[in-house]
Amino acid sequence: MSKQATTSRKGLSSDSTALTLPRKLFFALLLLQLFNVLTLVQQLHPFYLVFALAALVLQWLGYLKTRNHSKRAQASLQALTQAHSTKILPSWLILILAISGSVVIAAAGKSLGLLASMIHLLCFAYSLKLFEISQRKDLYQLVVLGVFVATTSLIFIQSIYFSLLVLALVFANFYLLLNFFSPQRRLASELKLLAKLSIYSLPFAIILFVVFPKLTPFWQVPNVKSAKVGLSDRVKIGDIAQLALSNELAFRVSFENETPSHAQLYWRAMVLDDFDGVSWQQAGQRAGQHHYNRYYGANKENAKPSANVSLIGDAIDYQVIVEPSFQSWLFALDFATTQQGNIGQRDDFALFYRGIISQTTSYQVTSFLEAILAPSLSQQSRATNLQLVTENNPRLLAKAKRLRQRFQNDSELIQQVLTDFNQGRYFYTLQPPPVENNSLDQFYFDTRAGFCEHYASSFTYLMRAAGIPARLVVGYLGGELNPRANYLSVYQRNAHAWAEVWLPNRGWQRVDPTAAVDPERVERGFSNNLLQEHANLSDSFFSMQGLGSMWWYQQVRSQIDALDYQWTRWVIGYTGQQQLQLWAKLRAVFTQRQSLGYGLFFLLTCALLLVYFNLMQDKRHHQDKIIVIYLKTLALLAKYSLAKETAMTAQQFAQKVNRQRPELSASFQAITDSFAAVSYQGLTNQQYAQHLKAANRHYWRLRWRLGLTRLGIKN
Amino acid sequence: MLKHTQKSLWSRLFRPIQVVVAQRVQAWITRRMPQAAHQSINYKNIFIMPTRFGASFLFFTLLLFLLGTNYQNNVIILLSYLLVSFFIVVLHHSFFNLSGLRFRAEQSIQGFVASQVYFPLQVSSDKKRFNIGFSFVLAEKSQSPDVVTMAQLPIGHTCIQVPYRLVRRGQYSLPRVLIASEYGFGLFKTWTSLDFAQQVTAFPKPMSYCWADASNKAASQQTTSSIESYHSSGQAGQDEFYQLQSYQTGEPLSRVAWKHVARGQGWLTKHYQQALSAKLHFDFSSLPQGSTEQRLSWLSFAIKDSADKQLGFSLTLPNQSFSYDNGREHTLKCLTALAKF
Repeated sequence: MSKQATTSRKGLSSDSTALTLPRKLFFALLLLQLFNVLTLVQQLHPFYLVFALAALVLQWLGYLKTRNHSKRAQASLQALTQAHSTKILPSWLILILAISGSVVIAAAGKSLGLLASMIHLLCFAYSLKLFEISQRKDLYQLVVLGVFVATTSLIFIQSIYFSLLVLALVFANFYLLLNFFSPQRRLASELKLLAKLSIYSLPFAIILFVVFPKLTPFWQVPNVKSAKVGLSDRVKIGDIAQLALSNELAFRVSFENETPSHAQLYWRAMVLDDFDGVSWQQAGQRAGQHHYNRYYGANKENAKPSANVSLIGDAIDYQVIVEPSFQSWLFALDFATTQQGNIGQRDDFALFYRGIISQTTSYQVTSFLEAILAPSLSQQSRATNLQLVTENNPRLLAKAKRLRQRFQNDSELIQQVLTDFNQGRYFYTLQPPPVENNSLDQFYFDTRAGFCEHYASSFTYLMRAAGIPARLVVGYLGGELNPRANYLSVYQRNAHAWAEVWLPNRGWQRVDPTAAVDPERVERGFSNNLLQEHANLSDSFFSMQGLGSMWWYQQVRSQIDALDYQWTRWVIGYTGQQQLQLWAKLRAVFTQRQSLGYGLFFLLTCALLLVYFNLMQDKRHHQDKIIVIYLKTLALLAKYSLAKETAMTAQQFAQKVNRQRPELSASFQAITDSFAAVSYQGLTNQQYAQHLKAANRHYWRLRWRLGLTRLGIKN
Repeated sequence: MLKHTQKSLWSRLFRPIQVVVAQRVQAWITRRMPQAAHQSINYKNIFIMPTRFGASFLFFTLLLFLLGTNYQNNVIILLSYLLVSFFIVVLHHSFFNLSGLRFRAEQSIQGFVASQVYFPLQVSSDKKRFNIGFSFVLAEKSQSPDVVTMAQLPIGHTCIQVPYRLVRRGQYSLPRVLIASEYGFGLFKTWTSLDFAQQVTAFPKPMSYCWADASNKAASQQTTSSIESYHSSGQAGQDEFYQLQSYQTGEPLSRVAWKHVARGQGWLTKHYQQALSAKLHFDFSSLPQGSTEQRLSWLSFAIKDSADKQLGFSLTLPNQSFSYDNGREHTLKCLTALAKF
């Protein structure tokens, strides 16, 4: 006990008390620093990582040195609790390190990017801080820096597992402080307390998260830089087949009501209407010019006048959660409208995000599947969508001319082209044989094997050559339904290209030549052939065929994916709009079912108050345990017609029991004595514990005896 | 230089206000937490405030919130809410670390001026508590009090020796005991200051006779003789080991019987006693010339020394006198008279 008391000359409150780190704390410090930095490992430059590791190793070695030294120096009591001083490097060296390190980071800033260099600076400061822990406030700073470093990693990754890991790590950082203030506690009890406190802080945090208004960004922040993922805005034949080998998640969708059939799920990402004979891209992009008149707001109210759409049919509502693609394309079914201000719509009906999607983003869409897109086509648009480079594919051009002579009717002509695809021994494959110079001619007439973009490109080319306005649309087709949480996952392998032709009165019509070649692809997704091919081509260890066929793997994967989806939907994707909706719903509950709403509110408040008062109570309920036992005993005796009258004192009643049931007297007298002691004497904790134990024992003895009497075993 | 003048101007302007505020606060504290020998602390008398680290922690949380908002990153926002929430939970946790403590202080303390005395405070706790510091609230702000910090307060009764440095002679009431903790995470300072209604008796600082001055010596022949006899008797006495007592928190480590500790016999301290006797008489008026304080100090030394050596003595002060006696009670009576003089 005596070791627990320390006398210090200075006041408690001063932060400047010289600090010595106990062994346990020191190791926790190193370990936590390692983990905090590791969360950012993908973002950090290898040079920095080496530096950070070296700093940790240096600390470790310094510790070993001082420990050996102290072992030799003194073998007294103090040596056991030898505190470690972290002063390993002299201050001037640290200063030089700090300056040179900052200069290096500043110099590398151009290549690193703003965000990355700021993170490097933060981590660098964190690593250096380890060398200067001489006061308590240094420990505070170290903890705060550690929390900041761990939190920064959430800018880059927000999956549920990583997030939970980081949350746990953030709380683990507080272990340092807890250990500093109560060094004698055992690790298990410290961790338990920390876990308890963090769990206690959950409810209020969740309430804040749900209720506190979602604010718009206050100022521009440096963007996360990364390679673009997914669809490219420039498509050559063969491109999408490459993308189709990727099993990465592109986006997820949950429909408010019923999920439309697979063949309806054409997720429009972008429209490519400019073909230079080799590749498709968006008109206007080639010249580097921006057609601002091609962008509109995406809300339903201004959809009609600006975007030239006639809205008919039912609307379907759904939420899309896109994974970071580092591009701005969004994905939606035609014709899509959204209320979100940060989403715009081009005049080709594609939605786009005003900015770069550098983190998981969610948006709410209302689509009109039967809407007529562009009932009337402007001259300019018609010209764009008929534009043709004629040199590259003379044979296709000639075929188009022949078709046009055969069919006056556009629909018949289209039908004929699709029939040709269907019956012309065309083959749908992820491994199209190479064609020279991306020649459509060669594909169409010679190799006859290709992926969706081959068919869509050549179809569009044919249409244009035949004088029908047509364009290429890229996006995704279908998606995999997760039955557990009822949502669609769309992967990169679902990438697809199809064509759109403009017909008078019917507007832009979607025509998917792939459907003519491989109807299964459109109806259900990849056919078995294609899956086999996919498995052979994608070199991932857990190929779809190998493990995918095992049902348990499927189950586990869908479970994990469902969990991640819920996290993404409710936490990552919780937008200001959803918050408003929630508020509206709550308000509706309050106004429509007033009594119910108020009742709920009242109950909740009562429960909270009750909990609070319970907590605030001065631990009095300890005293009451004996009284509870006494009352229980009275109730028990009352059952055996030994009731205590209100006027009787406890002792009088004990005497009465003694007279009527002498065999119970000993036990009951003991309980009565404990009760009297609790009520009328101040008991120390130890005495109290003894009384409680005795009372409990006697209560059970009494009960046992009465039970036996009742069974007639004993009188 | 400029700073200095600014400071003086500042203090000149605000000193009166500060004084008034301090008086009001003092009066309020006295009303709210009246003196008593037995006290328990709860929400009525515990103060809790964020420390500087607590404030910067909140600021840092705001920073995280801004980071999350600017990146529209809900996970970071959630984390910032969690930290705010954690802050509030820690507030309660820190509060409960002190709340429910019960104190008993039934002993007055006494000692010589300029020495350290220990105020025995019995603390009972129903659970383990951590990092609680005990110190006296001193009127002079310049003086930093000695703090005894209990890194861990066990369940049950603990006797804590709160150090108190005596600076002024006399008998007066002990100041409030400050019980403070930053346990938890250093985010909050939880404290209370309790007045246990106990007295402190500060005996004059013992000063040995150091008069080489011959005139002084001649002027007080009688005293010298008694003093001399006292001296000679004192020289004969050797510190004799008397007994071992169990260690009390706050006792000097130099008196700990380390051999016993090493043998695992627990923490014991050595106590010494002198065995000798002689008839001594100390008289205030027959002391050599000096200020009253000086004379009291000499007397104090004499009494302390003879008591240490287990010698009987009588004492005459201008206003009262104590007949020849021996023992602890007698010594205490005489010293108290000196303190009150």
